Amino acid sequence: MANTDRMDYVNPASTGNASDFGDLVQASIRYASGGFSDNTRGEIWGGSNTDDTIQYVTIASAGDATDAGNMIAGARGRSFSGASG
Amino acid sequence: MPDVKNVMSVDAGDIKNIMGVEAGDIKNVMGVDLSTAPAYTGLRFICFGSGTTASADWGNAIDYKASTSNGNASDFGDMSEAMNHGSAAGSQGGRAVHGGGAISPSYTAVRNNIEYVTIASTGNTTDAGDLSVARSEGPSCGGNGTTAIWAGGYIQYEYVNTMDYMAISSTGGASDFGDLNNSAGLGNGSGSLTRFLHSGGTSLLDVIDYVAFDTTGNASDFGNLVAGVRSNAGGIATEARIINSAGGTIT
Repeated sequence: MANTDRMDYVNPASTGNASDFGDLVQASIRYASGGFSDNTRGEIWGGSNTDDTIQYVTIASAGDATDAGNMIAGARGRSFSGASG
Repeated sequence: MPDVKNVMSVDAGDIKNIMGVEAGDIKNVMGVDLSTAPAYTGLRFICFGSGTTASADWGNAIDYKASTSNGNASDFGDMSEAMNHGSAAGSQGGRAVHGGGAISPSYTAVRNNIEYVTIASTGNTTDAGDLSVARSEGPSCGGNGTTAIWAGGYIQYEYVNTMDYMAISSTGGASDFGDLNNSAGLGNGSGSLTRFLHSGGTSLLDVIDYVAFDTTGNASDFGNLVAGVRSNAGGIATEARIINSAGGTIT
């Protein structure tokens, strides 16, 4: 089993195949949480079994993610459970 | 500067009708910003149900942080029980709802619970009813700020194509929406104002399905991911672009 650092994106107003957005900070990660957007900045939290990294992207500009901080306990993952509001 | 919807509990699109003030003049007249960001976005990010130690990849913790800067997350409150593999969506200035998950690492005890928090405050979750079918590994959630859809998931030894939906402001539980094209768990749910997308999932699917939030029914084919993946994050959305897959397992 291998994991990826790839991010894909689509235009939700149309249909079609996804394009490559860039890479996550970690070379190999799964079970991270997305769902975070303030309409400019997006974030990805945690992942795998013990990753506490918070990383961000600028949604309008394809590119690699940047480290933004950490979740609380230093050992997080398997959530898929992000929300913005 | 506070957002006008939070201050007045009025949608931005209704301001002119109610007050007779053009949108461009709101800040000058009232001293508050008129947010034009979609209701599924917001300035506070909430993360439900994370593990709390290096050996426990499930938990009941809720973390949060401001979207506008780098920094570490803070404690928001607790869920009703420790779990993982549920999924959530939020509404700007309103609630974040979380549904499903498993309450043990064996994934045999799946949940149908839907819980919510009020995003602008901190505190523990409150019950908001149930999913139509209890499941974990997914059910991948996405929302448009008004409605949340949970899609796919895993019930002991079987993946399902079920989609549920619920008004984010409701506490009455979810109803059946229709079916995905494939039975899948561990995919990603994303939302724009009009569409819900489900991307990837078990068996390393590269499939992207979509439905219109305002029309119940089965999913249609949207297109394909760059490559098949499961356990992928996503749901990082604007109206012009959704990052619908981030990381995940590829072989």
